[in-house]
Amino acid sequence: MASEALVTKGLSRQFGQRWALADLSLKVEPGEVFGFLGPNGAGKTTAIRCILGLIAPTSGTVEILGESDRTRRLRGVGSMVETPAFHLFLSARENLRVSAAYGGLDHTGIGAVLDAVGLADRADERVSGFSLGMRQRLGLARAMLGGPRVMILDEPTNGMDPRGINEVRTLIQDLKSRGVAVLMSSHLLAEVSQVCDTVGILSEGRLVHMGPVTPDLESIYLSVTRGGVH
Amino acid sequence: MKALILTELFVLRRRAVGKAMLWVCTSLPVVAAVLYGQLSTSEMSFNEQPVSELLAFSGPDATQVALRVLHTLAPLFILALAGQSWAGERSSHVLREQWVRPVSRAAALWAKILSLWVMGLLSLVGATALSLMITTPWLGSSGPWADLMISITMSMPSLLALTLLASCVAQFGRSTASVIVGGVLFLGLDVGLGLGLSGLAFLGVEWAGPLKGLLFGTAVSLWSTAADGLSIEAIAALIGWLATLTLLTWRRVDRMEVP
Repeated sequence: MASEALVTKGLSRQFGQRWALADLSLKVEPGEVFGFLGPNGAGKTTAIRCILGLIAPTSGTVEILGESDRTRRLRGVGSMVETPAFHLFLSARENLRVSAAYGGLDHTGIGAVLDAVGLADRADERVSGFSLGMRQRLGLARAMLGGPRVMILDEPTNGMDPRGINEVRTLIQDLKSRGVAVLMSSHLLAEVSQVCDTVGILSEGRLVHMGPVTPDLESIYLSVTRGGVH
Repeated sequence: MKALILTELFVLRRRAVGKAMLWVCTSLPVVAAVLYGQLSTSEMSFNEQPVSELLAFSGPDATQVALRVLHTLAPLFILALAGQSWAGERSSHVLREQWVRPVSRAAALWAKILSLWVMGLLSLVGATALSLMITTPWLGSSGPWADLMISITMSMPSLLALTLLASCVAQFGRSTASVIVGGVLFLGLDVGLGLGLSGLAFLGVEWAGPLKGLLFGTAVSLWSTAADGLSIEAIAALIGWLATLTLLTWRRVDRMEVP
């Protein structure tokens, strides 16, 4: 069995003449929180989409929990890409039932994940009436369905209020303590420095820095990227 | 797979278009069958002959009328539902959320196609059962039952072919509306070609008849023509369309990049 939870080797993706992602190689260990940092358009979401098989890489490989096949590698993975989408005419609980069916899971864990994100009392309300922050929480609940061993989160605190942001941080720390490998992207330096163990800074599709989170992260970020502080 | 199909069916039945399909495709055919039955007591005449003597009236006869209405209405609803299931879910990113789960694209594709087909079958069962229940005690039971059974049986592959066409068109459309327009254009073009080829066949062009037999419209009309005799060519055309549409749809789904 592979010791790394997530491995990418030379992952690249070209759109027309532009390389949105070039030669990304990284490893995330179980219990490690890896943060992707970079300005908007740096390639963070492209990398996450390639890892999740939503788009095909131009070259390179992805392995999650020792599996490289597009479908098999998603077993044991929970994810949230950008703003989570739902069937707006269904309730929160019904949406999670649909996701559970697609994940080959039964419905037993739905109540627990709704409780974990503070939506237990709104579970039977239609998602169309949810705020952006509530949808973000529901997206996190969906990502946690089935007890994933690898969690991939793209801008997980987007649209959340300070209380929600704090709860997400606690949630990620909880996942880490349970040995879950977390790969999260953000363009917020403070967010990454507070919850991540390792940081990878992307700029114009290239990984320009990778290492442990240190107090001088901001100066590193400024020196390796051409954009401003976000 | 069964769980996926049931889940997709649950989603389709909760959609406004899905609810409308079940109601409209069940009730309007029955209304048409009842209106047809009313002609049995009508004093209307055609070429100086009473309509009540020109037409046959029985439960099975009236239900054939119901089936004709169902096959006119169902394509529009199937196109709309396929548009929402594929183009709509792709643009609203719901498809992305399904494909980040460990489910093969083939399983997801068949779950969507089969659940959509089941919606058509539910309408078929509802319309025929209700029509028979209302018109048979009223108009009598002595009628072309064998023809009706053939029509009902052949309606199933016809509805599957329509479902596959709608799913295939939905891979190319960017919105539900574009899927409906694309599907209607295809069906309209098919009818136009059919009329043109019928005209050419009437004028004695030898290849026009066999070519018309290959059209999509001819293949999905088997439900109404099979009672007069099933031809190998017609069945081959239906199987050919089912296979072609399945392959085209799968090719698009397998290579689809989800935003």
